[in-house]
Amino acid sequence: MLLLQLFINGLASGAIYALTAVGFALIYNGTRIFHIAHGAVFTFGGYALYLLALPLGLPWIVALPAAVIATAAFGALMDTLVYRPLRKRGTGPAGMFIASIGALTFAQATYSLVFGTDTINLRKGGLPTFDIGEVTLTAVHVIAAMVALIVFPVLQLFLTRTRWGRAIRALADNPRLAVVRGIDAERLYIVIFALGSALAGLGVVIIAFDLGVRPEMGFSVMFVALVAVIVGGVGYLPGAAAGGFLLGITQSLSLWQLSGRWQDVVVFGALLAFLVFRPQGIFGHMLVTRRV
Amino acid sequence: MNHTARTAVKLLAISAAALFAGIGAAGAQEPIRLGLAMPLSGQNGEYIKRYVLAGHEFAIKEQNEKGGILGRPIKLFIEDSRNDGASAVSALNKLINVDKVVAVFSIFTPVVLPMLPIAEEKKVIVLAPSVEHPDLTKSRWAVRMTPTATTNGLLIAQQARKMGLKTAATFAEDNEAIRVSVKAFVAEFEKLGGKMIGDETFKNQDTDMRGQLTKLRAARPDALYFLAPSGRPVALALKQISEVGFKPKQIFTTHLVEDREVMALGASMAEGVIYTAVATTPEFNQKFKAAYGYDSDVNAGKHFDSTNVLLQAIQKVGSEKDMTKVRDAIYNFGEYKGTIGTFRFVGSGESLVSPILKTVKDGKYVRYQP
Repeated sequence: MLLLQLFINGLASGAIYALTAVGFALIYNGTRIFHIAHGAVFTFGGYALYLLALPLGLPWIVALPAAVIATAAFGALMDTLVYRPLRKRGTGPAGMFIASIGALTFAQATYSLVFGTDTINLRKGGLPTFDIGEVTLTAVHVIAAMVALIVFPVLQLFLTRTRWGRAIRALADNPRLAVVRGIDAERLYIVIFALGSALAGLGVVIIAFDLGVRPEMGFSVMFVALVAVIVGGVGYLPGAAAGGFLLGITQSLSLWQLSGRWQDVVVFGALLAFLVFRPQGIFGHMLVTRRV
Repeated sequence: MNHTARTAVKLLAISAAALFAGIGAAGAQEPIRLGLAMPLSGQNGEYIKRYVLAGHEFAIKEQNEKGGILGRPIKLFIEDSRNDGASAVSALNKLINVDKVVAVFSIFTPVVLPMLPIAEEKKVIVLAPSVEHPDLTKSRWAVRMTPTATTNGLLIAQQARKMGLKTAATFAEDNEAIRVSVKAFVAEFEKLGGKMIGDETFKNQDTDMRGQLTKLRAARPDALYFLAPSGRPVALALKQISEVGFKPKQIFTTHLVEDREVMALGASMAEGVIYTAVATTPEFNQKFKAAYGYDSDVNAGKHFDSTNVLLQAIQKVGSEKDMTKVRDAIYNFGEYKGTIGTFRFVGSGESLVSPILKTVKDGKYVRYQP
């Protein structure tokens, strides 16, 4: 029963990692930007939820989706204010990465100044729980699972069956040809950032509802999400999702035999192992055609 | 002497008088410079600013309103040490070399212990009243005003066995001082015939501890001894203990269960928890609350007391120029009646004070009665 409980715990944390990883991978594939500031967008979503639910007093049923939309908008704004001016100047990937680090640092410092360094709790008391035999499910387990089950198939349908989705995939495959074929790249970048940030928003509202909001919360999740993208295979979205779930489950299952202090070692170990033995990730073979 | 020479001499005399008067005035106003290097950011930052820093500032403010020490005001220079040794050493160097402080207040074992070699070299007293690691007072330039981690662990183990609890597990932050408490608890518990069946840790920045708590739940210990350095992880652990359905017969922890973070998440989560504490006086709490608008806690009291012990020692010696004498004055202070009880310094930086046991009953913090 302990193994099963740890597996279920891992699925829930894996769902959060997967959402963040897929959002990051979507942005990276579509724009070639190593958007480390995705962590700051993640944190923004938490504070957006706090402002909507507490000072503004909106009911949760309104505040939660509104926070996701606000996160999407913030991500799009970040592209407009940070990356677009740099693209116009012909800045390369290294410059974009440095700008992204700057944006992340600036955002975190701003959150600390505006909201303080303390964790802001969004609610009192523990989460509702459900017992199935000897296994206990919290509301986080259930919500994270439901979100993952709905969002990933919907995202896949969007990318494969809609005009916007096909345009995003075309841009990811061959940006120059996509532009020549009439795709408005700048407009599409905004959509990509908004979509990728919305996925981060979905992850952060679950965490914020459970554990509260603090300025550096996006950084730790972002790091694991990056490892998930590498483990799953850079350039392949289902790989990023699979990597997220795999890391969450592995981290949790490691507790079966190891102490909690080894959890970071598990993540670093996975990163090192894949970089050394399989740098293309689990689904590296899918990168032959550079699928989004 | 001609007219010009007389004028020159007069001007020289006036300048010399003004210069010496200025030096005299400056000397009279030169503050007594004290430093504070603590983690003012991160997970523990808000707690430290609210209680620990406030305790020092309150003591200094009170003393300055009475005219300072030796007719001079006291000035506190503040640096953020973050929660790591390298930043703490950096902060200490700045306080000593730039701000010229003669003593430094600090907190948390991983922050304080790395400072000690520099403090010893520069003859700067480090007052870390709340640090429980026994190694602190191996330094001849450190002062503690709290029961040690060993004392707390021993008391809890003895209580657990008195209550007939046969098995126990520990769940603690991975931190040097806390490991000492855990070690003392485990040794005493096993010595008294108990059996340890679980031992889990979490890191300072962890917020989701459900994995570790799930593992401890599976072990089904009678007692859980939980240790953290601030209120936030205590609050999170109590919440998640309830969420994973972990129900040991008794949960033990430290006075941090009185922290407002626990109250913010719901006092019912802490109902029945037994914890070690040092009692605070109502008089101190009253005046602290009047000044700050919220209740004090044990750490506010300890840090307030440590400031006053230092200031009284400087007063006794007559100067802060020779800090060796000030240090010796603290070490041989004898009895000090503080806000959290009576301390006894008997020749070292270790002040002898015993913890008590308290519990949360009907949402109130009361002395534990079996």
